[in-house]
This record gives sequence, structure tokens and C-alpha cells, in this order.
Amino acid sequence: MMNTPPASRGAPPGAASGRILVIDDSDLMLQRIDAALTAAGFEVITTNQTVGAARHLRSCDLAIVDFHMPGLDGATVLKSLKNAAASSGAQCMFLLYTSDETMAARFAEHGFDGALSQKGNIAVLVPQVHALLRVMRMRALKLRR
Amino acid sequence: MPFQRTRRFVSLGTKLVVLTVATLSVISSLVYVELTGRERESLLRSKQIAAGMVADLFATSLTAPLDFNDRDAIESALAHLRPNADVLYAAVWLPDTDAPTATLARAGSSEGHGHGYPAGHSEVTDGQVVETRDIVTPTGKRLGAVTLRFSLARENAAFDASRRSILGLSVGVTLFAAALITGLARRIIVAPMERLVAAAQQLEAGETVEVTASANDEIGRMAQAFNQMAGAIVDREARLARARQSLQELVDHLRQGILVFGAGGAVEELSSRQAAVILTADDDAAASFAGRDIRRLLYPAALAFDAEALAFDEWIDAVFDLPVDAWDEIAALAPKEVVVTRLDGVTLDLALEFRPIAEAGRVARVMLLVTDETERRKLQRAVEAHEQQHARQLGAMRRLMAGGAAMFATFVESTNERIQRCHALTEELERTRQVADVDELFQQVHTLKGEARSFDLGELEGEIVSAEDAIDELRRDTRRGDAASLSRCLGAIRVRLDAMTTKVARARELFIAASPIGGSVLDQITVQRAVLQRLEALASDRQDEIGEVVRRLASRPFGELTASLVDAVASLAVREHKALEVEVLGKELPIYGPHASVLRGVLTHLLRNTVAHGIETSAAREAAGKPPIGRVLVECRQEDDRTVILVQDDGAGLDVAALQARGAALGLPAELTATELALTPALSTAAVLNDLAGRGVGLSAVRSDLARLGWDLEIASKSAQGMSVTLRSPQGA
Repeated sequence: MMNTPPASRGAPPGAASGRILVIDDSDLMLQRIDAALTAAGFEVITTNQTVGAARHLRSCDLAIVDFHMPGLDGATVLKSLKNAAASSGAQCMFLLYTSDETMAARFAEHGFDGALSQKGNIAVLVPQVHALLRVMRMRALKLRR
Repeated sequence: MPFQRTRRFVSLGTKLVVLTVATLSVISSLVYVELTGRERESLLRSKQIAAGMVADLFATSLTAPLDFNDRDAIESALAHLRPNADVLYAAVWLPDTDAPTATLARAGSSEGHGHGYPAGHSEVTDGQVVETRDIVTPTGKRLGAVTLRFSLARENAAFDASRRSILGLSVGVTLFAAALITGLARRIIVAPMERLVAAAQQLEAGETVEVTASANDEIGRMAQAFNQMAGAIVDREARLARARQSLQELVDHLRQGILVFGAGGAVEELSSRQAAVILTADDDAAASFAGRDIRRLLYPAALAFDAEALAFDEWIDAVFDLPVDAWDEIAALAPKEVVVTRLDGVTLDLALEFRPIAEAGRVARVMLLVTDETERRKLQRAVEAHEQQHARQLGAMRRLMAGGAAMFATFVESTNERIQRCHALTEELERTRQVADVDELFQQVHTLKGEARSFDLGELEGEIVSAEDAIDELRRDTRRGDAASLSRCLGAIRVRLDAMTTKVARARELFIAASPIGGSVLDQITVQRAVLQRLEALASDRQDEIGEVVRRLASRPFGELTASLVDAVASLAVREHKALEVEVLGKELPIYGPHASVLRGVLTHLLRNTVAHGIETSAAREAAGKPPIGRVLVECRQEDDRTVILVQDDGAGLDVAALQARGAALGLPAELTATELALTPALSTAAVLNDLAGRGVGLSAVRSDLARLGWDLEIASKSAQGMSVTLRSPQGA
């Protein structure tokens, strides 16, 4: 890229451009997500518990939520998180993270604002997160107009 | 567009024929009427003249008979008329009588005389010529009158014949003239016009044509004009083609691939060869992009859901018809890179740049510049990997020089032991399927990971992460009781364990290769270690001097425990964007061998805690009036016959309010202090789940680990001033 200043060469695009809350019951998954997103320049908060997670929502742009957590009903969890977000005035986008593409495509039916597919394939996570942040900003831009 | 009825094609030739025939028909009918009229006129006139002469002669011949009233002579004169077939009727009148004195009527002629005495005149009636003469002597005496009626049958027959021939002639002339005019028109007008039409069609099809124009008339000029126009068109097309060609060449020689697309993402005709090379590996395929959807070119995978494709779709929807001023804002939301797997299976890292093409101040089309960054990224990754490897080797050297060889030997040995234990656990699991075994397996592998990481053994760590994934799955399978899947998982784990053994061996070789000491020394240390361990196992229980010596021999210097930690803390601090210094005191003091590995884990946990939660960011520290760089002291000292380890920081201290709030939420007694709360298992667990996820076990778990070895743990914390954790060994250790 001829026009890119040398300073930004090699840096991931849009580095350090968002704060992300990740809720998942698997510590391993959390670690891998954390590592990938942190390396891409995001601020990451991970938790495997929904209790107390809501307080992070205010400062986050995205919340990546596991729908199938043991002993928890994903829909209820999401609803309470969204309520918490709404009452604190958070502008947080809730994302479904799943390996089931059909489910990902129907994210809206489950109450999510977007979805990340191919769960487990950490390599494609960061581009997807970037894409959804772009969508979020695009919608904000449209609202402003 | 107004409705236009398509009219049936009628050839100019046909129109000409119809027009010519109609015109000529009118003309020839007029001529025919005129000619026949004249013919009839002339025939009648001749007949009248002839009839007049006959009447004059007849009247003259009757002068004497009437004068002398000679009836025979009158009859004879009448009889003279009989051979004249044209005379239908003749009558002779005496003066002022009502009936003729003598008549001659031809058979078949019904003509009578009932009109009384005739007046001298000549008339034509009913196909007959009537001549009447008064007979007067030269002296002027009226003797009588004669009437003669002549038949016009012969004249009528002649007239009919003549009329027929005139009709035939005029029809013939008409037809001949029509044929002649049509033929000429066809040759002079229609045929050249048809040639022009054919040439125009050829021109439209892109052929170079010229129409031959021999005649110097309007048609000839039209052909010339057509030729000039065709020449101009061909010339202009050639210029356009040259312009296009040079543009294409310009575009083709750019390093970036260029595609232009319009609203809805439809790719336009102009695209560079490089774009084809990048996207299809075929430099002739550029034209085939025209009309394709840019979205499917960049995101071809047929996934049911693709967040990136979704984002790009929304971008395409938003970008067109925007004012050009708003471009920068929207361009920032375009994808900057994409990983595309081409049809030939090659995966590419593409950098994307979008440029607006404006019409009337609005974005009408977008130009996409695609750069294939695959090689550069690969190179970059290789360089990074090389740098990392180099750094690792340097680190290994440094640790080795700092006396870490023994530690590495311990690591290699303990790792191999752990791998053996893991193998044993997988066999156990195959039989019993105990969840507890899964937990131990996980714990073992997890510890291995931490150790591998502390030695910067990335490859080994990678294998361990894979093993962890497999164990995670195993945990689910054990819960579900899926035997087939369980045994498949165990198989996968065994493969990973074997791979780990290989990686450990390779790490050892690498370590030796990078070490100035050489393999033999490492072997020697390792052998001594093994011997020592065996000795320790045999004699550690002895309370006599031998036992004391063996314990002393099996001790490790405190500095060995902290060496890797200091590095790890430094890199963690960078990651957390914090600045701190770690000072280690009492490096030379011995730590009893069996306690050393537990203490390493405890210290790791405490230091990570300090970095993550104790030390504030430089800005926060300065705001609180502290030096910007945090300070952590790790001190080992001997107090009487106990070993005391102190971990002290000048950070924020325990978050008392948060701890009390959580304590209250969990229903713990309100009188518990913050430090007591921090060490409460339930709360500590909650804290782990909330704040320290993935960072190890909580403080209470640390304390219980230590308690098993007989160590105490004590926490002192002052809000905003820092926190210290003191570890005390049992007596004599």
C-alpha cells in the first residue's frame, strides 16, 4: 500500500479500537479468545460467570456471549444482560458466538444484535469482530444522518 | 416514452410501382377519353358532310319532278336511294302538307314521319343523322321538302373498333411506362438504398464498410455522406479503442488490482489484469469480472453466515449516492483486508483500498484497489517467528548463563514425569471414567503449559493448548457418558502427549545447542538431580544429620524459583500497559526441593495478581502522588529456623469495598475483615470467576496449597498504599 504511512505498517487494522466483554463457560475458550483479541489490540474482559458481568457492559462496545452455558438458559441470560445494559445506558452490541452457522444466521431470532460464526477457529475471530464493529459504527453513522 | 405503433415494412419499390401505375392510369384514362371523343366527333362530322351531300343531290334531283308534279320521277328518285344501305328512310313533302307525298322506308326501320312538315335543318339523333332540305326553284318558288335519315351503324362499329384499339394501346403504354419507371427506380434508388441499409447494418456489427456510389445524384451524395460517416465512426472507434488500450495498459501495470463497481456492487468492464491475476490466477480473465457482484468476488465462500460478508453488504448499501464529502467517514468503515480462498484453493491475504468516483458531487461508483499481501505477510510472519526464535534462544542463553541449566534440567525431567502421569491417567480413564481423573489430567497439562510458557517453548505450548482442547471435549464426553467419543478423545490426547515428549526432547537439544556449557554438563546436572531425588526419597524422612544433609542437598536456591518469574512479570506488565520493577532479595537462600515447585506456582500467582490488580497504571499512580513506576519486592529471608518469603507491592491494595459488597452478597458475616474476606474460599472463587478468570486459582486456593506443605500465608493491605503477602515455612524448612 503505497499511501500507508510506514508507522502503521503491519499493525492490525483498527488496532486498540474497542473494549470487548466475553462471556463463556469454558476457561480455555476464554483464554484463546482473550489472547486473539488482545493481540489484535482490543481491550478484553473475560468471565465465565454471568453474575457481575453486567457492570462491565457500560464500558464495552461488544459483548460476545456463549448461548449454551451449562445450567443456564441462554435466552434468559441474554435478556437480563440486555436489560442491565439498557438501564445503564450502555451502547453495547450483543454477539452470538457459535460454531453452528445456521444458528448464527438466525441471531436476531435469539435476540442478538449480530453473530460470530466458526467458533473454535480463532483465526477468523478477529476479522469478524472488526467487521461487526464496522457494522455498529455504520449504523450509528446512519442514525446520525 | 410515447407509445409508438410499429408500422409494417413496405418496400420503397412497391410504393413506387403502386404510385406509378396509379398516376399513369389516371393519365391514360384522360388520354383515352380525349382520344375517343375526338374520334367520334370526326366520324360524325364526316358522316354529316356525306349525308348533307346526298341530301343536297337528292333535293336537286327532285326540283324538276316536283315542279312538274311528276310522281313517277319522284318515285324513281326515291328508288335511286335504295342501294344506299345507309339511307334508312327518305320522305318527300309537298309544300305545307302534313304528310309526305312519297316515302322510302327500309325494312326494319320503324322510323315514321309523325312530326308534320319538316323545317329545313340537319340533326343527329338516336344513332341517326337526319337531313332535311327545302326544295326551291331558282326563281324562289317553294316546291316542297325532303327528309333523309342515315344509319350510323357503320360509324358506330368503326368507332367501337377504334375505341378498343385506343384502350389497348393506352393500357399497353401505361404498363410499359410503369415497368420502365419501376425498373429505373429500382436500379437508381431502391437498390442503392438497400445497399446503404445493408452497409449500415454491417457498420453496426462493427465491420468496416464502404458503399460504391457511381451516380452523381442525391443517392450518390447520400452514399458519399454515408461513407464519410462510416469513416468517422471507424476513426472515432479506433481512437476510443486506443485510449481504452492505453488506459488498460496503465491500469495493468499497476501493482494493485483494480476493479470498479457501481451501485448494488456490479463490477464494471474496466478491471486490471492484476485484479484477474490476484483473484483468479488467470491474467486473461479480467473481462469475465464485468457484471459480477463485488461482494461475491471478495467473499466467495458459501457460508450460511459470515459476519464479514454481512458488514461489507451493509457498507455497499450505505456508500452509493452519498455526498463525496462524507466519503472519508464511510471509507473508514470499509474492510481493509480480507482473506480469500481462490477457486484453485490458494488462500490469499488481500489488502483493500476503496476510492470514490463521483458524479455531481455524489458517489456514483467505487474503485477498489486490491493488493496481494500474502507474500509480505508470510515474510513478516517468518521474520517475526525468526525474531521470536532468536529472542528465545537469547533468553535461553541468558538463563543458562545465570545458572538456569539446572532449572531447565528439572523442567525437562518434571515435564517428562508429568507426561508419564498423563499417560497413566488416560489409561485409568479408559477403565473408570472418573471425572476426578479428568480434573487431574487437566491440572497436570495446565501446569505443563505454565512451565512451557515460562521457558518460552512455543511449540510445546502449542501442543499443550491442543491437548487442553481435547481435554475440554473429554470433560464434556465424560459428563455425557459417550463412550465412543471418549475413547476417540483419549486417543487424541495420547497423540498430543507423544508430540509433547518429542517437543521436550527437541527443546532440550536446542537448549544444549545454544548453551556454551554443552550437553555433557546438562547431563551431569540431570544425573545429579536424579540421584539427588532418589537420595531424597530414600532419606528425607530421617531426622538425623544424614536426613538434614540430604534435605540441604535437595534444596534449590530461591533465585532459581524467581528467575523465570521476573521475565514473565515483565512481559505481563507490558501487556497490561503497566510499568513496574521487580527486586528479588535473598536469591542464594535454599528452598527445600519438594517445596520449590509449589512455591514457584504460588509466587507466579501472587506476582500476576500484583501486576493485574495491585499496581496501577502510571497515570493513576501519578494522580495518586506515587512514582510512575510501580515497585515489587520479592524477598526471601531466614527468621530463626523458618524461611520467610515476602511479596510486597506499592499498588492500590485490596479493593475493600468490593470485597465487602461481595461478602454481603454471599451472606458472609459482616464482621470479617477485607483480608479475611479475600481468603474466604467462596468469595475467593467468585473473585476468580469475575476478575481473575484464566489467571489461576484464588488466594484461598493458594493458601490451601501452602498449608499442605506446612506453610502459612498472611496478607497485609493498606488501601492506596499497597499490599504484602508473607509466606512462612514450617520450622526447620
